[in-house]
Amino acid sequence: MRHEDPTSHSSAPSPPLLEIRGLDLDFGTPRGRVHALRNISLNVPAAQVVGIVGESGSGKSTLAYTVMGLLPQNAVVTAGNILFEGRDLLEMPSQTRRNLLGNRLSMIFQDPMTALNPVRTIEGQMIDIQHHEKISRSEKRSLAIQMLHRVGIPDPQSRMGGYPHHFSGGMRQRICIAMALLVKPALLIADEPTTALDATLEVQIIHLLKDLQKEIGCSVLFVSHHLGAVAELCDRVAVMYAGEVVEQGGVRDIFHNPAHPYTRALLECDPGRIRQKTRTLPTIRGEVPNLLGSKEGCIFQPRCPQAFGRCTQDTPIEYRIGVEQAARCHLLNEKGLVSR
Amino acid sequence: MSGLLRVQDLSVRFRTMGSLKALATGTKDPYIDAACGVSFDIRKGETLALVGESGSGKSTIARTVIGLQRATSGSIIFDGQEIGALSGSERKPYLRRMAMMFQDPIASLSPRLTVRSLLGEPFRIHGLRDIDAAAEAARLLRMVGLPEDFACRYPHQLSGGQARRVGIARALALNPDLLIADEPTAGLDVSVQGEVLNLLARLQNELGMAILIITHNLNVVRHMTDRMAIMYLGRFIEVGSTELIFEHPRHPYTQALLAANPDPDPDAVLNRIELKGEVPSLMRRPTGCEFHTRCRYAQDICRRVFPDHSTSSDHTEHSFRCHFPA
Repeated sequence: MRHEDPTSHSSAPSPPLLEIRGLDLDFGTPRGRVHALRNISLNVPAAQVVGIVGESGSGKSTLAYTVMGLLPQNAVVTAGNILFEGRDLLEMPSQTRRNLLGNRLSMIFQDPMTALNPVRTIEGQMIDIQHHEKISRSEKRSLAIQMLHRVGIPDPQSRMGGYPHHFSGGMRQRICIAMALLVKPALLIADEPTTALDATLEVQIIHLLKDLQKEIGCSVLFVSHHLGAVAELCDRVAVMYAGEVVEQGGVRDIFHNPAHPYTRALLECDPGRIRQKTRTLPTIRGEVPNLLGSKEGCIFQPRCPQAFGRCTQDTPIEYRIGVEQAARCHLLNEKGLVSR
Repeated sequence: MSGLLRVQDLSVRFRTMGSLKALATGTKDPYIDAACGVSFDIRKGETLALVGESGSGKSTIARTVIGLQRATSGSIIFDGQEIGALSGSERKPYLRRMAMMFQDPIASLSPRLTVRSLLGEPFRIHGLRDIDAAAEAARLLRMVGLPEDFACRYPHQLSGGQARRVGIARALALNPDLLIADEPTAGLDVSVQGEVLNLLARLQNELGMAILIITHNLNVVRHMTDRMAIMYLGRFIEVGSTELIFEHPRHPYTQALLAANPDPDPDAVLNRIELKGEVPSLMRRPTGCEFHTRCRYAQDICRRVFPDHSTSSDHTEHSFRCHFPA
């Protein structure tokens, strides 16, 4: 059963739909603990699209999987809370948490070729995902047909009897989106949904996600390394580097007025932003640090062009700049840019 | 600049099913043309990009040029010599002057060989036995900007960007005249992508080889290449100088592809051209202009008549296949 959140109609600012507070996560490995997520704090407000950008290994997918509770066994959450609709996902009994999946929370995976069950028909899988609904099978079937039609599968009535291998990659990702949104979730987590697709299909899928998000009014946590897609789809953006959220804010703040040196470097590296033809592209010197063992100081310091003494000693806290933007960089404090 | 490689009317045909299945399913024509009448040339020291979506035939062309795949018809002329019809041993001296970087950097390096043996392979294959393998490996590693002690590493000890560099070093071991780079930056992060492309650009300046880049990343094409060819269903639909095509794309598919390149700016004016539907199957090529099923300018003539190559009036090197070019 679905209830409208009563607080969303009151005049007081409503609490965010998803609130991650001080999350630390380690992976146990034979060589020691890898601190894959460190002190992550992030809000996803209701009916907004929040993007997480970062390079491979920055922990953005790990964060998405932590919210969904899909982590491998060697992962340990060592600190923090994940509040979803006011309740802590990490504290609740596993059955209660399990019941939220495919109901209030749903997910689209990176690779549409492996996300669907190859030995069951699309119809069977789309009816199964509605197992929380107390309606008849034929009603579930007609809802599934409507949704497939909405995501642009031609002739869904006859095609939903087919198996995943009967559909192309783009079609399969549409089916995955249809399945994820069929249950009208409060929060949709999309883990690089367009990475495996061609450019012209990527445009179609991003537009589709945007339209459906507005129709259903759900929030979306959109994980991507593609800056162009994030700029187009998201309301808010969090930039991750080596397991930390180094900067977050409104999409315009991040793209027009980046405060963290890593965000600036990442944006400068994108050849799509360089208007003039050039044969030498900007790069970020150095390499992503190894997250084994403890680190002192700012995690970006070894690669940062503006690093100074303090950066090697203190881990920067999250400084607020403006209303919505915050970044972990000592320079902001030094330059007096921090708003109280 | 003089010509290095000339490919004329190249077609590559694959059989999709056995004769029994074809008989059982009533398929008269169980073939697909992965490349269909493709012609292009590459001059010495030049960079040409093949651009297109998955399944458009880019990699097939590259594999055919380097001899991993037999051409069904057409000719491949390398430095004045027709090499398409040569047998394996006759072809070998020409293959020594071409090299290929494969798409998946880690998978294309044998997991049981050290970087030193991997870098020695091109010499062994071409029978250059009087070479000091260790010295050559050190020279190649220096060339691509890796420390010399990497020679003792195995591929699983390399990051994606480092594996790419080893791939480049191996491809350039014999100082080829033509380097074929199949998706040189696929799967790399933007910061590492810049490093790999800068390295390729620097080595091209130093060694003067021509590069054939296969990619679907248009940003790479714009900064790296002199000319580009856009492929759709195994055919070239537009060829010309990169600068001209980015400035004034003539074919509607090229326009859509360029517009599909998302601008990393939230306030960018979006004049996206969203294409309808998906790439048709090679088994069932559309009639007339093969793009008409997704084209927003399609007219009746497009459904009936296959458009011929036309050239731009002021730039004769810029050609495209469209009845209603922009």
